[in-house]
Parts: sequence; C-alpha cells; structure tokens
Amino acid sequence: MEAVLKSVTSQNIWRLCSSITTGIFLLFGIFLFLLAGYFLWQGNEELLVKINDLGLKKWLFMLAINRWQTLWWFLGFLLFLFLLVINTVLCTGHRLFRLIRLIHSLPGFYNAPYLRLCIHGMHLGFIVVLAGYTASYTLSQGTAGVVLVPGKDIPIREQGLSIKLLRVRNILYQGRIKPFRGNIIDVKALLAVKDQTGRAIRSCSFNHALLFNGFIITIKNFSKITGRPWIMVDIRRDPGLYIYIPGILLLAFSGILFLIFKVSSCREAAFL
Amino acid sequence: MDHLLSIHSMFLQLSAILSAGSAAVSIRSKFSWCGPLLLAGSSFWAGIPLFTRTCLYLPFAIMHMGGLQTAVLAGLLPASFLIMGKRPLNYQIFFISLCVCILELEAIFFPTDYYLPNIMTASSWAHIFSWGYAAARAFFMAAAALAAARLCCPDNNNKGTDIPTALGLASMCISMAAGLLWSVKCLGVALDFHQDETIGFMLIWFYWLFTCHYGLASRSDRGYQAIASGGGIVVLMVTALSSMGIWRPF
Repeated sequence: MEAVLKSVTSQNIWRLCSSITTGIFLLFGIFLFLLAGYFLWQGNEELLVKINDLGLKKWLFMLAINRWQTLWWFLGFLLFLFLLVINTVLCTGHRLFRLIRLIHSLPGFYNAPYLRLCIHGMHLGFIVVLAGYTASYTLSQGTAGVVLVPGKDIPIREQGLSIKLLRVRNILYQGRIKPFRGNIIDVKALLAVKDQTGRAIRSCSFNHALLFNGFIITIKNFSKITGRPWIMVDIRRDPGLYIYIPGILLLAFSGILFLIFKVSSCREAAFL
Repeated sequence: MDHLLSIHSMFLQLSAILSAGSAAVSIRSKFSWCGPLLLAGSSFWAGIPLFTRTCLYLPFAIMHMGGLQTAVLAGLLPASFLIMGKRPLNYQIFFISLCVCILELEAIFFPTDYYLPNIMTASSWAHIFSWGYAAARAFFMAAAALAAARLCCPDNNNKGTDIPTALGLASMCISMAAGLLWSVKCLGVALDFHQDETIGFMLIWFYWLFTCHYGLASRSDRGYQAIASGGGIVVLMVTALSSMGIWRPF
C-alpha cells in the first residue's frame, strides 16, 4: 500500500512538474514580477548592477537577501525562472523523445511534426541560454576599470596577466551631422598581452574586443580630449560565453523555422 | 538642425491626425478602404522623419526612436494587407490605428534634445536588434488587434490567424540573438542595456510566451482572445514608456 501511495505521489509530482499548465502559471508569475519591477526598479539601479561585479552567489547571499524588501520582485523573478527551466526541461524532454520516436507516424498535416520540433528547438535554446548565463554569473572572473597609458606595463595579478598599451589612435566623427564633426568618438588601441602560456600583440577598439587565451579585453572608456591618451579596460574570462552563443543561435534558428512551418501549415489548411 | 526637427514634428502631427482619422472611419463603417488607406498615409508621413534620421545617422543605429519605428511598422501591416489584396477587418484597423496614434502622440511629445551618434551602435548587430524589436512589437500589436477584433466580432472566420504571433516571436528571437551577441557579455561591446528597456523587453517576451502557451493548452477561445488583446496593451505601454532609448550616449 505504501509503495502504491509512494508511486502515485511521485507520479503526481512528475505530472505537476512537467505539465504545460504549470508552465503557464509560471510564465504568468514571471510576467507579474516583471510588471512590478518595471515600476519599482527606479532608485535600485546600483543594487541590480552589483550582480555583474559580485556574481550571482555573492550577490544573492550578501546583498539581495538583506535587501529583499526592495528586490522582492527580482528574487521572485529568478525563483520562477528557475522553476520554469525545470518545467521546460521535463516537459520538452518528455515530449521531444516521444516526437522523435513517432515523427513518421504522426497524423495531421505534413508540417505539423516539424512545427512541434521547432517549438522544442526554441525551448532547448532557451534552456541553453539560461544555463550559459548561470555559468557566466557564477564562474566568470573579471577585473573592471583598469586604466592603461602608453608604454606602461600593468600586471593583473588575480588573472595572471599583464597588459601594455603600445599605441593609441583617436577616431573622429566624420558623418553627416555637422555639429559633431571632429569629435573623438572611438579609439584604436594596440595592446601587448602576456600570460604564463604566451604573448600576443593585438589591436582592439570600442566595438571590437581583444580575445586572448580565453580572456576578453573590452575598452570601457577612453580619453576624449587630445593630449595624453588613456583607455580604461575590463578584463574577463567567461566560460558561459561558449554555452549561450550556441543557445541563442538555436533559439533564433528555431524561431525562424517555426515561422516558415507555421506559414506553410496555414497554407495547407487553407488549401484543404 | 532645429529647422529639421520642426519639419519632422509637423510630419508626425499630420501622421497622428491621419491615424486618428483612420480609427474614426474604421469604427463607424462596416468595411471601408478608407481606414487602411488613411493608416498607410499615416505610416508614410511618420516614415519620412524616421527614414531621414536613419540616413543621417548611418552607420549608427538610432536607438531612441523605438516608438516611432513600431508605429511605422504597425501602420505598414494593414497597407501590406491591401497590397496583397486581402481585406482586413475594420475592427483590426481601428485597434491598430488607435495604437499608432498613441505612439505618434508620444513621439511628438518626446523631448527633442539631440542625441550624439553613439559609437556602440555602429554595428549591424545594433541595427538588427533595433529593427527586430520594433518589428516584433508591431507584429504583436497586429496579433492583439486581430484577437480584439475576433473578441468584438466572434463570427468572423479568418484563416492563418496565428501568423502575426509567429512573426512576432521570430522577430523577437532574432532581435534577442542580435542583442545578446552585441552586448558586453558576448562580443565585447562595452554596452550595459538600460534597465528600463531590458525589463520592458522581457515583459513583452514573457507575456507573449504566456499567451502562446495559454492558446496551445486552453480550449477557451474567448479567454485566449482576451489575453492576446491584453498583450497589445502591454506592448503599447512598454513602447510608450520606454522609447527614451537604451542609454544616453557618453
């Protein structure tokens, strides 16, 4: 009897966790938390931005729990998002395996199974993106606001790296808006980067980061007046990057295929 | 530059009047070519300042005109229906015209301070993000108008009703991909999205995910139509409140 009760309970929990109704409830919950946040975020910008510097774990236990009165909507959003990921994994996993097994024998229009496959592709993309972001906010190491001046070697001890700004060239605005012609809008910097494994000389600008042995060096700010030039860089090593790029590409690709199959399904329906 | 801004303002006023006229004509008559044509005219006049500013700013993407981009694209949808020879319902035109009118009023009263060309937006990612997001909002607005029209007039039987939602989702996915690849977390542009804009983006995305999943799971057509119509209000609210742009340039 106990065994039966146990199996029934676990079945119920499984059904609850993998049901689309739970997903709908969670999506509506996320919407409500975001709606509250949309009107309550002002004045708490600093608290939210700190997540970038501290990482998710430290931010959650050092800051967010102590300031839950102001951040309740964001904490609720994170909790519901976590539950939505579990729901999506279970729901998609269960249905995707069944769909792949039965793809050739499914009734309905020719495109219907592929349409469902695209929906599951979007779900998988969503899960992978969130996994990448979780990895990024828990495992990435960063050093922010390193100021570089030409000719000076700056050691970044926590990253085991040293950077030297070799040359910097200002780029002026030369577009069609006359009042802004001649303003410095970008820089092109030549950097020498060295770690235990090697050394490289590479250029970077505001919109083009320098990539070296897994490090991403980004220009955050630069001197906008002529004279002694300087640049401010952020240095980051982010394992999440390699997870969420495939995830977002899968999401976008599935979204486009979903549209194509949807249009073709509607045409078939209109024809029949 | 002030001269150009005042001409743009005049065009926008004309566009707002035309979209208001389109809404009035659409609600009063059973079906009329007049409503869609007025709306197409409204998009044309709103499109001129948008086009001029886009050309003036190139290769920088204009990030502070999201409301106008959405209004123009939403207004062009019924016009494209006309070109394709499909007759849209007057209720749909009414709801879309109303939204376009509200967004254009918002664009008229938008502070006309001048934005510097921002180097961070001089990338194709920025252009894809900006136009993809505006297109997604316009498609969602069309989907909401369609749902509201079916709620008001339940006996109409339109084929392919879910296409605007599918278009909206696909545009949102493309925009999201471009935004993520463009941001500081990925390709390394030192960009922090404005929190207002980010929360607004997520609000629209999650609301329409909720709508789609509800539509798949629920058998109640009226419930789905009411929820999808509400999606139009969410899109309109976010677009009107967050069109201040993603960030102010340094």
